[in-house]
Parts: sequence; C-alpha cells; structure tokens
Amino acid sequence: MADAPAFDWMCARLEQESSLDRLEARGTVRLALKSAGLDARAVTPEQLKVVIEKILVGELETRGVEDSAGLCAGFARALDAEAARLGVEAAGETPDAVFSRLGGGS
Amino acid sequence: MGGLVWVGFVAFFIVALVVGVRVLLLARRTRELPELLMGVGVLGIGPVGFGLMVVAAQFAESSPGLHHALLGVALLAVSCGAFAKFVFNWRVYHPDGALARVVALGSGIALFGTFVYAGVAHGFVVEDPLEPNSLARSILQIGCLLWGAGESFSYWTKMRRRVRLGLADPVVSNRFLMWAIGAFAAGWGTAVGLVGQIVTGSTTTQEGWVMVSSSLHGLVAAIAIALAFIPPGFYVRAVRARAERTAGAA
Repeated sequence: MADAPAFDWMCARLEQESSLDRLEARGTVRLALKSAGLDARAVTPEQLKVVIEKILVGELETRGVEDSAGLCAGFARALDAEAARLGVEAAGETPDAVFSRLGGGS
Repeated sequence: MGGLVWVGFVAFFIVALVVGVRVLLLARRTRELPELLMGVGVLGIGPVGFGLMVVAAQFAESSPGLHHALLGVALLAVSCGAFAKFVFNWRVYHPDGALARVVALGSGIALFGTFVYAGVAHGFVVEDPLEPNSLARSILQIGCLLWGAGESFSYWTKMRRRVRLGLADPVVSNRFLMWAIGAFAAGWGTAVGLVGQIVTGSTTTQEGWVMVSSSLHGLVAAIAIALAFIPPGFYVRAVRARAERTAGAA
C-alpha cells in the first residue's frame, strides 16, 4: 500500500523549504506521525495539520532546523489550500472506522 | 460453589449472544464485511458453538443420534466462527498483507479439514483433547482469538496517542482495548482449559480448577466485550471525562 498523498506532499515541502534532505525529511515526518499514532499510508490532511502544529515543530527544533515555528505555520496554511486535492485519494477503511461502526457509531 | 462456577460461562454466553446478534443486525444494515465477520465470529465460537455443545451433552445417552447431530452443528459453528475471526484480523488490520492473507485462508482450510475429519472419522463425538484433529481445532481457535487480541491492543496504543491530540474518539479507542482484553481472556482461558485437559486427562467439567479457570476467563471476557460493544452510559461518560483530563494535562 502506497503512502497517502498528504504524507508525500508534506515530505516534499519539508525537503524544499528546510535544510533536510529527502531521507531526513521523510524520516522526520514518519516519526512525527508515529508519535501521533498515525500511519503514513492513511493520514488525512486534517490529521496532518494537527501533527504539523503539535508535533512537527518540536521534531524540527530537535534537528536544528531554523525557524521551525514559522516553517510549520506556513505548512499548515499551505495544507489548508491543498486539503481538498490531497484528501481525495486518502486510504479506504481504517480499523478505527470499523470499530466506530461496531459500537453503533458512538 | 458449583453453581457459582457457572456464572462466568452464563455471563459469556449472554453477552456474546447479545453482541453477536446486535453486530449481525448492524451488518444487515450497513452491508459491510467486518460487521458480518465479527458477528459470525462472536456467535459461532460463543453461544452457538459452546451452547450447542452443552445441549448436545444432555442427549449423549438418551438420544445418541441427536447428540451427534448437535455436536456436528456445534463444531461447524465453532469452525465458521474461528474462520470469521481470522478473516476479520486479516481484512481489518492487514488488508494488503500477504502473510495475513495466507494465515487467514490457510486456517480456513485447516478448520474445514478438522470439521470434515471429525464427521468422517468419528461421526461427531466428544473427542479426546489429545487427539490431533481436536488439538488442531483448539489451537486454531485459540490462535484467532490471541491474534485478534494482539492486533487490537497494538492499534489501541496508536489510538491512545491520537486521543491525546484530539484526533480520535476516546470511546472508540477504549473499544480497541476492551476487545483486546475480551479476546485475550477468551483465547487464554481456552488455552488454559486445553492444557488442563491434556495434563489431567479429564474434561473441563470433570476437573474443578479447570472449570473455575475457564469460568473466570469467561467472566472477564464477558465484561470486556460488553464494555466494548454495549457500554453503559456511565462508562462512556467516564471514558470521555478521563480523556479530557489527559488532554488537558498534556
């Protein structure tokens, strides 16, 4: 199963706009997603925005990336504009969607 | 004491019956495979399989033909239930996983084989737990439950992190944990019962401590499965309140 479009978009932006190379950028985003309990193959733009704002800032600071907060604020704004396009191909049914239904949608 | 021992079995029977029927009704509404698999799994291994075995035992001497027929239906229900749980684990947690697909489909073939063998070789009788065919079915039954428990627990650790960020519903997250506990208790209880039968050479109902162990595991499974799929309002409120406190502290 391929990575979600939102994940690929995030990695490409991070690589372009920071000192991180491709491998570092993808690894950093994967670690941020893992900290949030998310999967690169199924992450949605809405989930990614929360990760950017709450986790990625710290991950970038740890790696010595300059102006992490400003960079992440830019990513979040850009993601808002791209959300419709990136959300279209998001992964199908996740285990949480199944378990949500199994409880009668509670 | 003798009556108390049955509390766990009865609780498990009732909860599995209610949850199984409820989930099958949900499947009829949604037309989705996971609901169907969960419903067949819970009903097949629990109330239908286990229930019919208990009923069949009542006719062992008075009506051997009915006894064999009921045992046959019970074994079919257990086999279908275990297969449904294997497929659930594959389709829900690893829909693209080649290994999960092989394990699920391979287990289905093995379960079908044990069912056919039990009918052809013995005409559906209460088998010796040490007999390879019976042992294989028990191991597959335990395997589907423990696999499901492991997957659910692993997913709950992810959900817990999402809940802290406001990315997941705490009640759904808790459902993963409760299902993990319920499936583990059912699988582990079955494993302890099997080992007990092998060690002592007697059936579950003949050996007191095995009976108590199986009943206690059944009680734990019943409580956990009830909290997972038919949680009372106060429990749902407590789970949500705890999640809010945790998110506030983070």
